[in-house]
Amino acid sequence: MNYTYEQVLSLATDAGNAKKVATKTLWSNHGADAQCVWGECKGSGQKPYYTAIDLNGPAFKCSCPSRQFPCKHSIGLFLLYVSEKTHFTNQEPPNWVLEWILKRHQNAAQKKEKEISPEQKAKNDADKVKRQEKRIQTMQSGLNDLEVWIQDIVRQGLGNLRTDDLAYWDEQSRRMTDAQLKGISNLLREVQDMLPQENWMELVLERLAEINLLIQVFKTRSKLPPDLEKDLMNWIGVNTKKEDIIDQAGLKDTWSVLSVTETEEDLFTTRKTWLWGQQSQRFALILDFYRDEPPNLLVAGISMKAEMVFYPSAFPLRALIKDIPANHEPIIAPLAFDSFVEFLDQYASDHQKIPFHWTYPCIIHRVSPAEYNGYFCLLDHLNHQIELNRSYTKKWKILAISGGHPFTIFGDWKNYRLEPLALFVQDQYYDL
Amino acid sequence: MMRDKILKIAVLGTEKSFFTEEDQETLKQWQIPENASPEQIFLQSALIYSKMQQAGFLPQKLDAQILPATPESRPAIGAKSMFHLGLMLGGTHHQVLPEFIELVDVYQKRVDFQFLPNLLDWGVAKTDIQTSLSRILGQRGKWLSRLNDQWEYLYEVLEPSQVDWEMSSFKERKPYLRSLRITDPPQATELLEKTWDQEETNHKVGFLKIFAENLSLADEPFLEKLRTERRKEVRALVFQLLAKIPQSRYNHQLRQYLDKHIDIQSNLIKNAIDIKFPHEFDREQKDLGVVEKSIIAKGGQKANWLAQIIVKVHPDFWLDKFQKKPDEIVNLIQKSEWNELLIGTISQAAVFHGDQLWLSAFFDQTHNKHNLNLPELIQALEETYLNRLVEKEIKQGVEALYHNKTLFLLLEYSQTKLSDPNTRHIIKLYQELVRKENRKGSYYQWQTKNLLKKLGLRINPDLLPEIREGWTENLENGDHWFADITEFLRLLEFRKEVKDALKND
Repeated sequence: MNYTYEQVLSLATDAGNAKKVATKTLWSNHGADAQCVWGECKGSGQKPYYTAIDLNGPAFKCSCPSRQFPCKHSIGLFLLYVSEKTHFTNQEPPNWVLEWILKRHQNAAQKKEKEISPEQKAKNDADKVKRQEKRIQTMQSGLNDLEVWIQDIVRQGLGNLRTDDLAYWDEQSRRMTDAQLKGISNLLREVQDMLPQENWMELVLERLAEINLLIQVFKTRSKLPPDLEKDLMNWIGVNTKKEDIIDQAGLKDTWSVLSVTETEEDLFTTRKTWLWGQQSQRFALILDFYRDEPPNLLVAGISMKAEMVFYPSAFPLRALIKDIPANHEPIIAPLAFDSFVEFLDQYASDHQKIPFHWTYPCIIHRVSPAEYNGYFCLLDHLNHQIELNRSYTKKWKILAISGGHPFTIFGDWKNYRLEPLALFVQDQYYDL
Repeated sequence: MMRDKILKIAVLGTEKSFFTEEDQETLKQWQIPENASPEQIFLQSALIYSKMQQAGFLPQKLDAQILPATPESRPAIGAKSMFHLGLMLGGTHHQVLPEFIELVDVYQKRVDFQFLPNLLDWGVAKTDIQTSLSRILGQRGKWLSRLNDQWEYLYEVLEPSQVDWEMSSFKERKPYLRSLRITDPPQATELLEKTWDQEETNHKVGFLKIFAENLSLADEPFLEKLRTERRKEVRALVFQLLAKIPQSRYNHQLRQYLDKHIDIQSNLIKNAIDIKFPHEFDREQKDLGVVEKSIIAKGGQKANWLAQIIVKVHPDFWLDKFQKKPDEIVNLIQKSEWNELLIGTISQAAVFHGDQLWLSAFFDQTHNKHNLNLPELIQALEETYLNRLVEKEIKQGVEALYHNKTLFLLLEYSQTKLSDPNTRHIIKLYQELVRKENRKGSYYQWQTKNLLKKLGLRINPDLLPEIREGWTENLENGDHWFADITEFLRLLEFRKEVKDALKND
């Protein structure tokens, strides 16, 4: 698989500087084979920086002191490689590259082989139960306080709330974090984005009603089917750990990477990767939260044979990938709904499985750009309007690529509006 | 109905408002527990209502499609050129972008669609490149520009379609007038005359600027009528246009005025220049477009009244006056007591009329260049004249590259291409300078180093193989010149790659 220039650029934390390093004259002793790319980059010091890329991942190594990952040298070398492969004639990796690759493979193997004794496992399980009981107590106490807080708001009326008092919501959000209810905390924090909107009262009421449902159901959670109970715990902030599901058999398929987006919040970056299985015709969402180094560096616009393990849920969507293969193929456009109404029917039907769809994949065929009341929107072939997020900024890119002709849109459906993430024009993929 | 009730309770609170008896049936259907607290009943009802809305959401039907773009006639640039364009738009070697655009146009190609928004944004402030840009953006770019007011500038350079002159906007009429000005100048004048009195001042200025193209004696009658225009910015432009028509009545009046006030008395030994400054600001000066308070030259107010006339008259006027060649006249003027006034104003006239002989004479003969507006003068020099001056200055040796030396100034301010022979000589001078000044700790010419960056954009990149030779002997990372030479060669290399990629696509 050949990575494209844009795909590599999407991995960069500092694209501007990375592009500057993607210049032939800066690199020496560079080369590439089927698995890796390497080179020495002239820096400000006497010694060059040693940079290598494992295409199986991809993964990066660089001797520069940068705290950014991947650093500008890694992305610069990668950009140079994808744009001028003929320049990488040397096919014999130097020792420092071979050692690094070998170490990576050994580490991966060790991770798999790591096993613990039965006694240790029993002790660990007992400790885990104790910790869980304690956590449930803390959470229940937090939810009790929150229930009173919401009831007070509803009793006195939302008309008494000040839309400019963000601290009011922020403080309650922090309290929920302290009560180990990170999911609820996030739901409250999102209210801050609703307050400036015209229909803020409806949005805030809906959000308070949703949180209230979570509080009520938590009290009787043992009556829920197991998968739905997992959903509940996930929504309030008790996440299933990767280690608990990684060894389960996954869904083997050819997965198309439809989009990769990153958002930064406090000290963490959230990386959201949407995939679609060509045989299973299922969507999968990989969510990664990281501080320094992203756990996966999948790029949008490729497809690959891989095994995906879904987190337990009544509507399984979130997943993790077992191994990222080195061999990639060109992306294939997923099967799309033929009209907006068809998509909405499916969306309504999925509400029977779980009550909340905080994020929901939407792919519709034959849509065209349109403008209504000064706002950019999309129309399906039956002229049904698909509203976009008002803050959406990639309108001009969609217009430029489509030229006003029909295309297939993929995005995230939320609050009656679409956040476009990628589009296909005559099977050609474009990341947005 | 239920929506309004829920919203009313939400605003006022359950203390002051609640569901009534008639809502009980709906709440029962929604399976809301009757014995729950009012807050619970309300919150659960609000949630069920919102979920029903989401699940039963019906989209609006609209007829608001944007008409699609027409097919392209030019092929798109290849993958390698796309890579180069991506680099430049990202900030790497961005100064090469104008050259890239010109080359894409030369090779009759267009850019890929995904780059259009960035290029259209970039072009907003680049008026000199907008015509080439409009051609390489293809039909898609033109289509896109009509959807965004910020990209309106492209209208002006698009191929215009015929417009209803009296009904259309300024934005639509301007490109039409420009095209008529080339194909049918009398028709352009006739149309503009028809609506002239109703036009706003800034529109008048915009239209008149178009008249600078294809200017001829046939435009005189229309322009003559505008000499008494109310707004001074319109009048100033009218006088400039009339001054550029050699046989115009206005030009004749200007010369007559100068004849009256400036006298050259020749004898066998020297020429003496006698200037009679006007005593007061009078009607004649006003009719000639002189502005009473304007200061454009050194000297007092009276000198400035005269200066405003000198800068509009073609310098050839002085050939008749002195009966000598331009270089001899410049030489004489700078020895005269009116040196400051005349050098400054006649050189401005040479720039205004773009006369290369006079420009070269000023640059070549004026020893004290303080009176000259050097950047303006050098920028007005055409490629052949500039290279001729450069060729002469190169002979001064390596010191010609030092700050404020003539060669340095020519290279610093000019934007035209350097000839290949001149390039080879200048590179040799630089290499000599590097050998001389690369000893660490010694004084070095930082302005000359900066100049190297500019030269990287103006010399033929095909000379790269020979230019690359002879620099780096004994030159190491950390030496004074190392980074600058590396940057210079990298820029040239990039320009060569850009050119070759577009050629071989």
